[in-house]
Amino acid sequence: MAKETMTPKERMQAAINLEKPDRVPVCPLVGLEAAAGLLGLNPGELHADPNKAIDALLRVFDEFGGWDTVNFFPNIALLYNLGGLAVKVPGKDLPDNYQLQFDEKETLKVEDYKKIADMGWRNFVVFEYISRISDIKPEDIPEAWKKLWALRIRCNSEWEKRGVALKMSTEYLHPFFTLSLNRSLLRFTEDLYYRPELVEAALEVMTEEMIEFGIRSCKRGGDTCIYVAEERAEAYFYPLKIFERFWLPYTKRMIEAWYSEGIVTWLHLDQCWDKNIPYLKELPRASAIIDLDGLTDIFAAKKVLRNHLCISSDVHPALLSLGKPEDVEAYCKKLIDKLGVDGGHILCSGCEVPHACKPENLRVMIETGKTYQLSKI
Amino acid sequence: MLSSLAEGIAELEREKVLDEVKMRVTGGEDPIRMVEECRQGMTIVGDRYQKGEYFLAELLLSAEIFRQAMEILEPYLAKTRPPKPRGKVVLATLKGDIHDLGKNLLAILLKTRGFEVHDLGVDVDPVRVVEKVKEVRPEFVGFSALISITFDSMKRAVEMLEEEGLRNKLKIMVGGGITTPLVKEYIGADFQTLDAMEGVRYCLNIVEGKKEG
Repeated sequence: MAKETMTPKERMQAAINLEKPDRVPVCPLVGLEAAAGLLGLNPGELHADPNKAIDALLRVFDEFGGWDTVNFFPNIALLYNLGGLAVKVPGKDLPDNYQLQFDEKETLKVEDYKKIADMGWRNFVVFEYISRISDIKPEDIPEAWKKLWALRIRCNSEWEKRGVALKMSTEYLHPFFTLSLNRSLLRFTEDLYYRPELVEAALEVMTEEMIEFGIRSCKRGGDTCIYVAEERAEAYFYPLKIFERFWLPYTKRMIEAWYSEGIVTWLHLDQCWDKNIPYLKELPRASAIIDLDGLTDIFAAKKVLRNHLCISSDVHPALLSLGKPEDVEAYCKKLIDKLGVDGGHILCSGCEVPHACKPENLRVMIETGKTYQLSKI
Repeated sequence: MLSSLAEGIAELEREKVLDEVKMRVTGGEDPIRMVEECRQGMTIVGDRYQKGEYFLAELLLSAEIFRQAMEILEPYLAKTRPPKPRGKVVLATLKGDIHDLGKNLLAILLKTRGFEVHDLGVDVDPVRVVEKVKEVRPEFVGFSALISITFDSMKRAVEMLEEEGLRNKLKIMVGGGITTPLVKEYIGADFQTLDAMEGVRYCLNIVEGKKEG
């Protein structure tokens, strides 16, 4: 078997730049829930103590032999709240052994769109909204950001020690997704169809703020990647005319602005994006990683995006938690053979590695990623 | 010819539909006839969805118009004898999961097709599913799931239905973003889908097949 000739950073950079790395970069999205499951802990314990959460992830990382890049936010509940999202937290709002879940209900009202457009999203969250979705007081917000910053510094230093590539500044939800979760899917859909101007005015402000905040945050932390999640804008939910009007222009604007500052977007796209994938060719070449979750036809997506955008693949949570190691191995090999041959592929879990992931399945996924290509040279 | 109520629902004309329902029902028209017209509208929406002309968004919007129309008609319908349901369905998101989008959509779509739906909500203990099945004797039980933590709850519910001798009298459906054929096999369900309309078609096919048989 040939030996590795690249560092994780070089390998990731090659994949993003659509060049052929020595082997496929490996990045299972091990979050707090997965780390708890793999170590036999309750998620509630880790949500209560973010430093313990970092320790847990590091233990998993080390025990499973490490991988190339990491998406991990140790105090995700606080991060979501500060971003204006309501969540139910294990050990606090849910039993200790549950997972963190969005608390989707109609918390944002129709009249709030205008306030967002006038005040900006961040001010709206601080001065009005955060008290609706959490017990955080506006005066406590600066201290909360400081806490998050300290955790991030610790994470960055731990990743540095382990040679992990691509530090992420933070996790954002796309403004479209944020509004949908806060209004509820049904009410937001009514807004898109019956009062579109209000939505557009809010999206406009939220997009500009997110661009500016992303750049500032990356510069401050020396980060090169921003993680953006979306699971509501695709043709599973909406016709293309909605996608073209309310999602694509804002997304292009964000990704182009960040890319011009040397920042790559890790675009996490849950659900089936088959009909939307061709639009992603409008993004600048090598400006984003398209992260799919197993519901989009990843092989068809690769045909469309080949030599334009890197794709991070989709080992499905059900396969990781219920499948046999040989099935996981076979699927990883198929991904590497079909997506990884000419670069532009990161071997990844479809969405997050699940809490119920079998340790042997994660192990075989990482091992296959690290050795399969090299074994053929 | 298509009634204006059916057309209004099919075209997602919320205000027009609700105004017409109010006007006609207070004018003494038969509410059951109006329910039928609204159902016709939902059938058109379903057909358009199947052809790829409509998306989940239009299913949601039309289902919400239908729900609001039924709310207006409810007091008048209470005075008439309810028609026999096409079939009974128990739905739940089981222990560990609080997501309910898919379940709620399936519930309303099944209602528009004449099914009696018993929605147990989210984070439901499998014991409650068994109790409800004993109480209402449905033809279908549907589980909705978005996170993997519920796989074992769903499996447990199916096992409990088996232990109680109820399993072979009903079809078990599972749906939601996390589900795959592997999940269906693991929990012992009869049907799996990511598409609420496909779930409705499955139920319709089964009950129609029973009638034919």
